[in-house]
Amino acid sequence: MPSDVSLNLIELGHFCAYLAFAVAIVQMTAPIIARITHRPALAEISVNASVLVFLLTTIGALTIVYSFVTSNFSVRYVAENSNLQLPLFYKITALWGGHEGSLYLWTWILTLFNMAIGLHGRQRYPDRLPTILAVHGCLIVGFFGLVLFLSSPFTRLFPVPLNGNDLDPLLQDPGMAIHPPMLYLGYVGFSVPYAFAMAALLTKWRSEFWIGHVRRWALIAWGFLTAGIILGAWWSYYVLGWGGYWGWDPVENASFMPWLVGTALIHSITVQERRQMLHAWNIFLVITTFALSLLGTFLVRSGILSSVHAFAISPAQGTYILIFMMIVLVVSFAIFLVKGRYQQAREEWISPLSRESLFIWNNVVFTAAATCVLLGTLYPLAIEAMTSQRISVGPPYFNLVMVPIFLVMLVLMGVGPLVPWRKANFNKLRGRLIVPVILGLVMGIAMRLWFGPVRWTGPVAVALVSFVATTIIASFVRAVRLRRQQQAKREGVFAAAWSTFSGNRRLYGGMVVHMGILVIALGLTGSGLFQESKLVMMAPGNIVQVAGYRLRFDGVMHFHHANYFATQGRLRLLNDGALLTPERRVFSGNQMGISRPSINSNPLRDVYAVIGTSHDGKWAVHVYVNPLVNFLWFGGLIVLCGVGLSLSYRFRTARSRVDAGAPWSAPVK
Amino acid sequence: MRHGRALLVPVLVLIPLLAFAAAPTVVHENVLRKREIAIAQQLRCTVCQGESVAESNAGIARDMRRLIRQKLAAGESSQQIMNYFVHRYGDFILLKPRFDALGSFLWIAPIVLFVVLSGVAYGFLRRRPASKRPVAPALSPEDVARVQAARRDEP
Repeated sequence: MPSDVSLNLIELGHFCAYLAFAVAIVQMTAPIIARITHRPALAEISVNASVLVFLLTTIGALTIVYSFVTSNFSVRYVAENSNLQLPLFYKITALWGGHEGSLYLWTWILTLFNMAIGLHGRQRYPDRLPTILAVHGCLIVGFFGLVLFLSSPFTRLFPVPLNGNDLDPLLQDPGMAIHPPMLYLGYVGFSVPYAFAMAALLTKWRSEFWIGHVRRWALIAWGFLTAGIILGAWWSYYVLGWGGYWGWDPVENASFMPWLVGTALIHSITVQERRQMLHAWNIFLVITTFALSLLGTFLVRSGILSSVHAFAISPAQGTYILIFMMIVLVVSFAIFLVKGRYQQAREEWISPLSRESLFIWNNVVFTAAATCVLLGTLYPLAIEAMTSQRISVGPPYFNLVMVPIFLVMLVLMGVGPLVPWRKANFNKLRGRLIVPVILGLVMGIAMRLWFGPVRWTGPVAVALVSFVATTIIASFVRAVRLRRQQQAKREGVFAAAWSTFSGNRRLYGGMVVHMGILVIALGLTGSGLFQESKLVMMAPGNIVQVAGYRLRFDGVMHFHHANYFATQGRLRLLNDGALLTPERRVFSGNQMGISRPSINSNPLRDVYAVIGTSHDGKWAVHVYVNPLVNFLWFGGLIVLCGVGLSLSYRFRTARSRVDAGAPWSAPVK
Repeated sequence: MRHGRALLVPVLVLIPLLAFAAAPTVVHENVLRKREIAIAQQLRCTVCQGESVAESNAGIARDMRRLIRQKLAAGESSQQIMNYFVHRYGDFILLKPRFDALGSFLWIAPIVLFVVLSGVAYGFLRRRPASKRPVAPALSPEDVARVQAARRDEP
């Protein structure tokens, strides 16, 4: 039993959370009061407040973690999501294992970004920083309201239970430990561009001053969101044991929608940077991305969907998030409609055959894709709410609708980077396209001949992936050759390649991201079209053959672990003698049973086995052979490296240091 | 005697099974399994919500798979089986909405969306700035003369 001090340490955290709430209110209101009373110095308070809010919220989070580690079951949240047998690692990650803690993590990360803006902006954009922090402060106040008054992780429980319930067994996995923080860093990361966009609208901030910062913040958020989504798929694949990684579950869609709009944003923001146009559209995209992040939080946290992720059903919290989301949406779009056109585009004309035009088509495709996912996710809910009927929209629908959209994205991905800014020379473009197109066609036809009849998407995807890969490599080779021609001193090929790459890491980082997406596309094609599976009842000694892989069932073994009881099936892969050990685990805390698959993996294929229940001495064994699944994880890593490379390159942005000290000066006429 | 006969049946069934268990046997999936999975992938597991009948390990999903298998064995077509489930559980069971009063929206909307968004983008790209920019006033005769004078001065 914990001592008195440690038993009640949680109250210190609770108190700090209330303080953080109060400081966030100060951060939100100080710039407004400064404006009304014409005392600009007052606005400086919000910069200090941004650091203080984070520190106070961190103390709150640490006391919750401390309560988990010391098994302080007088805290209701700890009692519900932990027990004495839970390993230490999962006691710590249980902070975000339940509803209240997840929201607290959301808020904590929000305050982290809040402090990051405060520290980042002090030197770079001090004149607009108070406005940005005021907007961000509103978001923090909104979420703290939820965390403190409706979904508090600090609530105490008396009498204190001797042991807690258990952490959801599905969450007791390393993948699940890092997936939520990554995803939230992505979701919440988009609050920074949002605060910038609102501040830009409110203070008529010339876009040259903020566009570079917004691009970087958006790219950071996009990188985290990508990592979060891929880790979610990875967890689903390695833990849930259904042989797949993406089920078009509403919760997955909730993370995919901001990703799609965020992707549109990081592309079209370049048009604004280069040609000083599309300001209003980019602000619209920023607001929409953040709104979709809020929608995702609402869908997951309100319990409106019942799926593995939505582990809480609480109407009050759902209503709160819904109202908060509506207020954010209405206020943001109202301000956008009134002030959105504050800055005239410097140029208006776009050639139909130019980089900027292709970026606009990219935006059409990505916006349409996001809207399709939104419709498929919300339409069943709307139908259920309005009529008494219920319909389902599941993977067969989304695959049919989204796969062609993905293929169109690949086409644009190949053509876009080849087309120069302003106006392309058609003949030159044709010359650059001819080899990649032929190579793509050859690869597509070869695939069709090699594999025989497959769905049309297979050869088309392979053709497009080869096409895009060739365009990227050819462009790079052209750039290196050009560099070597222009240099007076002959440079070695590798030295030239390296200096070309590192000289424009922003561009080539983006190309690395494209390459990663191509690898993912191959993985999706392989595992989506060529998965084979068998579900059989096996007695010890039986052999099952799936897609050329023979597995012998050698019976089961039983294991007692700290907090669960495992029945382990032993399957020998006869092709190379490897042992697969899928488990069925029953957790002592809540007697919940889950299947844990076992995977024999090599770069080209996974042999994936799941064991079910037994009947008459035979065990239900589900064996999948999933080709190219590792391409997804590897492609995801390449994407993240690309984002890192792109961010490592500092694009010189116009700084507003001239205006320092005069907070409301120099609005755009 | 009645009990004895009742016992005999399972024993007779079990003996060949035991014999098979002793030697390595290749277990084959039922021939109908491919079609069974294809149907099950289109149906929602009613208790798990996020999963299809093919993927779910829930009891009801297992029962539904067995029912599909029985119906396939009885010679019913895939369409007949799908209709049976829709009749029993409603449209909710279908993971791919049908093109009917409620579902058609989902099939038409993506196409309409693409057309509309493409139209907006096309309109934006076709826009000419000429109409928006103020037209510069024509030069007065004196100005023309000054320009010509300046040009003459150039070497």
